[in-house]
This record gives sequence, C-alpha cells and structure tokens, in this order.
Amino acid sequence: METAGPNWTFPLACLLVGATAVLLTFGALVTTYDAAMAVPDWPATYGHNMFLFPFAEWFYGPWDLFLEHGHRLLGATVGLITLALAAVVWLKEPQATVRALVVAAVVLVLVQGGLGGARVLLDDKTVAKVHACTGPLFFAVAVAIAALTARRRVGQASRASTIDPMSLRVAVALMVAAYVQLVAGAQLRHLDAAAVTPGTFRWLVALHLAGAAAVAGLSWLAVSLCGPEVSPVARRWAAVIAALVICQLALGAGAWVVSWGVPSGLLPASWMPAEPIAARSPRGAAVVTGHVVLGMMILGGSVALAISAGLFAKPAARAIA
Amino acid sequence: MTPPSSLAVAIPVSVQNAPGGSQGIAHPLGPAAEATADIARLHRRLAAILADVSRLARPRIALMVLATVVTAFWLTGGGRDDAVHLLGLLVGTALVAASSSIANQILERDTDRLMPRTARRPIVAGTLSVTAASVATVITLVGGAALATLSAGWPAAAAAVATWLLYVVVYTPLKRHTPLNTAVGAVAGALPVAIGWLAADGPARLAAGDAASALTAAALGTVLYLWQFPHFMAIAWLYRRQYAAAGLRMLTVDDPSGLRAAGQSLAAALAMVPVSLVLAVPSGSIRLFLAAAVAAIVYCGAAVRFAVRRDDASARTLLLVSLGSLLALLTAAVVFGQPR
Repeated sequence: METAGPNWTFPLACLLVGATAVLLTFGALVTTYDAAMAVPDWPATYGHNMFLFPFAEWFYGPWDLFLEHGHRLLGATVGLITLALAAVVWLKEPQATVRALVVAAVVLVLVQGGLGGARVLLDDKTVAKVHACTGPLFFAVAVAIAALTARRRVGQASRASTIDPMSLRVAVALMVAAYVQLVAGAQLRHLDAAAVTPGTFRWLVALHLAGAAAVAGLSWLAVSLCGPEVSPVARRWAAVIAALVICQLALGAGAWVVSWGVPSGLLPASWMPAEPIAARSPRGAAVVTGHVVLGMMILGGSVALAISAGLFAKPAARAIA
Repeated sequence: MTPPSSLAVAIPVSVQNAPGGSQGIAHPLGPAAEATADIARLHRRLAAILADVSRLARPRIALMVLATVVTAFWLTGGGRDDAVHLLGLLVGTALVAASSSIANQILERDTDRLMPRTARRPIVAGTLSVTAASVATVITLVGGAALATLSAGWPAAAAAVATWLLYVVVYTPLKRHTPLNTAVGAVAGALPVAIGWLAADGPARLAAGDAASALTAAALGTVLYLWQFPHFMAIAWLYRRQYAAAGLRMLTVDDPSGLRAAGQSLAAALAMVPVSLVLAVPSGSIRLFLAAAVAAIVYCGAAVRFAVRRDDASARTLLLVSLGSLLALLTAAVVFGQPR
C-alpha cells in the first residue's frame, strides 16, 4: 500500500540519523574529557531551564561545560525529531516494521534521556555505561527506519534481486557483533578504577580484541559474499564497512597506545590508573573519540547492509531465494 | 459429568471414579497380589491428582513469579537474615498465584473447552466442579494473602492481591474484547517485582536516599513488562487458530498476517536492552552488565527472526529464547547483582 502525497518519513529519518551522529560524537567527547559532571544538576543547567541557559555563557564558557550542555541540547533536539518522525510514521507509513521501529525509537529516546539524567544525579559509572550502550542502539534503529523507507522510495534498485540467505546471515551477524563490540568497549571506556582488578581488566581487553577479530572477519566475509547477484546497495555498504573497519583497527591500536602506552605483549600486564582523561592531548582525545564514533558508524553501516541484503523483506521476496 | 458432592471439594471427581475403586471384592490371586494392585491404584490416583493440581495451579508460571519476587527482593537489598520471612512470602505468593490461575480457569471454562491446548484442564474435563474450584480459589487467595502479610507486612500482601485482581478481574475478561489485553496482562506479570521491593523495605530505603535500588526495581518491573510482549506474541501466533475458534481477541487473531504481533515483539525487545542493563547499576557488576546485554541481544535476535519470518518455527524459537533469556537474566541478577 502506497500513501498519496509527499512522504516525509525518509527525509525526517535521514535528519534523525544525522542529528544522532552529531549527538553521539558529543557524547563520546563528554566521556573522553570526563565532562559529564560539568553541569551538576538535571534537567536544569545551573538552575536555568535547559533551553534558556545564556548562550554566551555556554558557547564561550569552559570546554567541559560546552560539551555537556551541548550534549543535552542535542539530546533534546534528537528527542523532538524522533517525536516528529513518530507522528509522520503513524499518519503516513504503511509498513508495520517501520511503525514498530519508530515506537522503539520513541521509547529508547525517552529511556536515554532519563539515563542521562540519572548518570548526573547519581554520578554513577554503571549508569554511564548503560547510557553509552543505549545511544548506539537508538542510532541503529534510526538507520533501520531510514534504510527501510529509502528502500521503498528508490524501488527495486536497492532491493536484493534475490536474497542470498548466507549474505543475509553474515550481515545480521556483523550487526550483532558490531553492537556487542560497542558494549565491550563501553566497559573499557567507563572503567571504575576503585572496583576493577587487573584480572578483570585483562579479561575485558581480551573480549574487546576478540570482538574486533569477529567484526573484521565478518566484514571481510560480507565483502566476499556480496557478489553481482546481490543488490548494488548491499555491495556498496559492504565495501564502506570494510573500509571503516580497516580505519577502526588503526584507530583501536592508536587508542590503546594513547590510553595504556606501547604494548609489550598481547595484553597489558595490569591496569595502571593513568593520568585523568581530561589531561589527554587534543590528538589523543581525537583518536580515542574517533574510535568510539567509528564503532557506531560501523554499526549503522551494518544495519543498512542487513536491510539492503534482505532483512525485513516481504516473505514473497524471501521465497525467491 | 458426576454431580459435585461435598467430597469433590477435596478430591477430584476423576479420582473418586478411578478404576479399581470398588470395595469388598477379594482379589483372585490372594492378599499379596491384592496389595500390589492397591499400590498401583494408589499410584494412579496420586498421579491423577498431581496432574490435575498441576493443570489447575500452573506451577511453571508460579515459579517464574517467585523467581521475580526473589530477584526484586535481592536487588533491593533484602539479605539472608530475612530468609524465613522471604520463604513465608514466597509460599504466600505461590498460593495467590495458584488462586489467580484457578479463578482464570473458572472464568474461561467455556473458551477453554474450545481449545485443544486447554481442553484437558480439570474444570473443562469435568474432574473438578466449579464449586470446588471456587472454594479452592478463595482458600488459596485468603491463605496466601494472610501468609504474605504475616511474613512481609501488608504492603507486600496488598501488591499480591492487586496482581490477583488485575489478572482475574481485568485481564481475563478483556481477552474476549480487545487485543490490548496483552498490554494489561503484562502489568499483572510485572507486579510481582513490587511484592519483592515492598517486602525488602524498598520505600524506606528510597526515603533514606537509596535511589539506586528503587531505580533497579523500576528497571526490573519494566523488563518484566516488556519481556512479556514477544513471549505472549509467540504463544498467540502458535495458537492463533485455537484462539480464533474460541473467540479470544489476541493480536494474531485480529491481524492474521502476524505483522502487528511481530512489530510489537520487535519494539518491546529493542526497548528491553537498555532497561536490562540498568539491573547492573546497584552492584556495578561488569558480569551482570555483560550477562544482561547478551540475554537482551539474543532476545532481540529471536524477535527480529520472528518479525522477518512470521512462521511457527520462529515463534517456537522466540518462545524458548524468551524463557531462557529471562531465566539467565534473573539468575545473573541474583548471583552478581547484590547492591554494593
């Protein structure tokens, strides 16, 4: 069923993806510079209504205040875009999957806002981890909505002409591995120096390295499997993801060196509570933040790949394969 | 069907009418063989009673409820010193859960008769009279609520009774009228968290500034609420024809394509991911965090598969994964999640 008149779902979904990418980058910078507590109250900012906080004080103020308050403003913007998208989808969108995803997006954005507040009010590292894991999940949902509505817009061009079950399986596995890798990475990003033993730290590093190997292997498999019989969009996404993964491996090595120095073995001997994150050089901060942001981009790319490879395609299309 | 007698209150009709129930006839092979035959008859009677009690009280559902109560109690900060009180509360809650199950079967006996999956329930099969079932409902409800009050105080008992009311008085009749029944029934499924939280003095802890345990209890309740959507949508899909024949308005009956059921499952499973992770907040346990992440991601995977395929095999997988993931989550919460 196609609806008459202009459909704003796809442009709004793209806007949501873009705004969320900026929001996640700000969030990653907040963690890198340990700026989460730069504004100690919530939902107000130093007693002001968040939206009425003096612009000059924010924009020309301290760096950590700029990051944290900017993160909050962007979060509110993403929330509003999500609500607008939900309204449009509810009125215009015939696909049940898109409708379900937009409901999930609304719930996730509300939960994420609450988690951000709880992180500040409780000043708790575990809440920060949950917040860090929910952001990418929301991003993945936003990408899925955009990819599903784009597929309908451009018609057959982006659909898999036949669905190859193996490439679909690999794409879905890549999507899951990319998300698990972000969850494992969040454990390392938000380490609690007082509570984590060297043994636990080594175990977490090993998990993250194993995840990196899995993502790299699956992205290579995705490129190999996405031959001419698979949709051109899927082939393009597989290539983009492979390129992103190569950059990510380099950034990961860089983040390791920035955080724990040049490795003398496969795993660090122990975790030394090094200098505060805020004292990192701008280049070091860029490497660490870039590693997190690129991880989220790989997740978003893998969601787009899975959908263009046939995820959520109609059962009739699936039967072709 | 045999008319209910006063004895039927205590003994199912099937047992009274069991083969070999006649008295005063000597066994042709002598007293030893007669004793063996008596033992065999006794075994059959016991097996029949146990099967009827099991169908009536649905112990697997009651076990899930008790696991939820224990987890909420533990995450709120209830300790080993309270073990006796907790045990009393669990027995009381189990009795209230059994009561709600019996009341549900009384109210749904007409529709249960029309579905093969419920046609063997004791009231439908005629092995238990409605009067006897009603008496059992009242006794288990009053006994369970009294035991819960004595063990854990009236707020926990009130939460148990509120769960009973929501399940029996609101959810059960709603199944005939609207597919929204799942959204209401899921509240009843999540309320046992309140029982555990209240029993562990949750409100007093919150008043004393322990916001983390209140947040965790809220998260556990939300997990339980969201978890039920994929779980029940899988059941609703597998038995959609039976529900339709019985006139029960499940989502898969209103929308036989399964798209809406699959959509609700997917949305709920996705929303469950962050909420599950919040369970690790009071303990700060990395193990619980990762276990919750894995359980929620696997559940999401099964929901995505059901959304894509919408067939019996994927619904069955979703059902199995729902049970496994919840069990894993609750176990991890109890093992690793004691607050700091």
